[in-house]
Amino acid sequence: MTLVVVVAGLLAVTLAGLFMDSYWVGVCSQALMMGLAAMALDVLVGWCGMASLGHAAYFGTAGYVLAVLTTRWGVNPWFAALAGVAAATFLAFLFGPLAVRTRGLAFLTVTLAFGQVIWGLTTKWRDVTGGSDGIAGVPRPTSILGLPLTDQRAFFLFTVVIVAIMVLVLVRVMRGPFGLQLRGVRLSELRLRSLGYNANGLRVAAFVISASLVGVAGVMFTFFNQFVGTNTVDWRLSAQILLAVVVGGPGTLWGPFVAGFGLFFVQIFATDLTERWTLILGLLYILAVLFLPRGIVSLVVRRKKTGSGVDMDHVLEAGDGASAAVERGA
Amino acid sequence: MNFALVQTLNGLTIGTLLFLTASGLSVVFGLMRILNLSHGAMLLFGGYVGMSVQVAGGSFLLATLSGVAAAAILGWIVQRLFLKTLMGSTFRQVLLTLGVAFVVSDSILWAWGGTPRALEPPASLQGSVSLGSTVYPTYRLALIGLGLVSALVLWQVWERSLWGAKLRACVDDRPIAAAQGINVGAVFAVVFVIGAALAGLAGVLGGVVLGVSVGLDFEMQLLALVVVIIGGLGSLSGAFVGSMLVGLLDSFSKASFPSLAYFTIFAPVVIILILRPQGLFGRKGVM
Repeated sequence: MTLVVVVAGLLAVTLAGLFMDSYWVGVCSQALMMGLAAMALDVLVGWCGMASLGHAAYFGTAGYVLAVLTTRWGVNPWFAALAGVAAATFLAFLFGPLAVRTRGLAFLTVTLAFGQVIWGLTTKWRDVTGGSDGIAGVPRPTSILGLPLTDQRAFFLFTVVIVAIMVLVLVRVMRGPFGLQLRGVRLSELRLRSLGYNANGLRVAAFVISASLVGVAGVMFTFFNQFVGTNTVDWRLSAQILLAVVVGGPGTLWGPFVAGFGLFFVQIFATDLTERWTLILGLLYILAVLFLPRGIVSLVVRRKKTGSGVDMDHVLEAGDGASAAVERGA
Repeated sequence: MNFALVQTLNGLTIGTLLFLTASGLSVVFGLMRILNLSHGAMLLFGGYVGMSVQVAGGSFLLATLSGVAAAAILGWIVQRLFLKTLMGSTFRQVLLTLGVAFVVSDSILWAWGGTPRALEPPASLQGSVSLGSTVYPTYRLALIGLGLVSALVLWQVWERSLWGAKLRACVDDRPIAAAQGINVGAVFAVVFVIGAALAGLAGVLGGVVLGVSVGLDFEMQLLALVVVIIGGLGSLSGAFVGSMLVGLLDSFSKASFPSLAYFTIFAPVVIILILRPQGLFGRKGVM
């Protein structure tokens, strides 16, 4: 299901993209990146029940590392892009083991706090990050396989390919044993542990995978805009990605992808019409919470009762109370 | 010496404002497992209303009262309209308060514009006091005093009054408290509104020291969350100790390493998470 929907969707977007003018091609490219970011966060929310409100940190860090390396040190864009993703991954290795020591709302709080550390560093450490001015003039790689990436349409095709690869890998991994183990962490940590699995190790692994994919999205976003600013580390971006997961339907991968993609269009329309995107984002949050507790997925398909996917009421809950008992020392 | 004294007093000033903000946040969490991410927005709304009343010619007392009332009313609306209907669904509640935070914050920007403003201290507290070889603003000293008084009052209510006993019973074990005939819903409503009112108080009183501007809401929200992580959720004494600690760290680090200010506040969070994930005064199993 996931695979069919995603492949069909990407094909449709690609075809549509070839007939649009270059502004909308650009919007589509960025929307794909936002879809990827939301899908990456779904690994945490939908599989492990860990709602992170600090994922902009990895998005922005990857972008900033790319920008600093290319503009200050003249590093080749390809290597700088790899370094950006590596930096996001490394950051997740630092924060992940600490954050997974908490559960539920504490996890949300701690990831938000970590996210703000990165925000604080980028806004205050002007010598390196340019503060609120950001860093302009980030070069794109000139070409790949004869495609000139400076051209908006060619860059769009490049984005489609990168996002498609990430999506295929992610779907494959989450469908396999690893995804099942993660689901086990959420549904019954005690049983999983008694089977010899390292539950917190799995949580950290999910955290790192999620963050590095968000890093890929951040690098692509920075390449596209050829600029990186504090909006990429802002908590509103974290909130936007989380909203996409929640609205899309956690645990389905394609739901968050579609929602992340769509939400970026809403943002574009909203910022065209008014200056009040934050207000609209807030209203969308309130409406989604009140009226769409099972996400847009519930409008399209009936959820099978297989333990795949969670609705909003159960995102933060352990399956059988066993892990709660462990935490209490019972 | 002067540096240390001034930074300590600055830290206690921020700590007082943080305590007013974080105490409500922490107790509401302990009571209902609701993480109120719109707490900072309530603080800022209180601050702006207070500032407008003062600009319109109202006294400082009137400005304070109206700021407190505005935040309390906002809290009451959020509790009444939304949180009550979502009882028992923690994740939806926290997402909802996040939405409210965005809406309130952006509406404030819409209504009052982006220029930072500030409140004037009352005439009797203007000027400064001589402390040996240095001087310090009278208003800030009075604010620290008020912080201590409010901490004492809250502690008395919490520990010594019948109402506080009911509140603690609800925090400890909600179903059993309800079975004893305590109206948990009413306790929750009262605590939520009082928490919002205290945030509004911090907004007005802090408006003299920190000014009022969009962005302050989130900054105070985040510092209050750090306080709650350090102090432990649902604990009033934890909120007090955590607030003073974060206040002092904030003022010393901003004065010594301005570019790394956020990093230094965050260091104790890491230490707490490694050594004592439930916070200094928190109990296991609360999260």
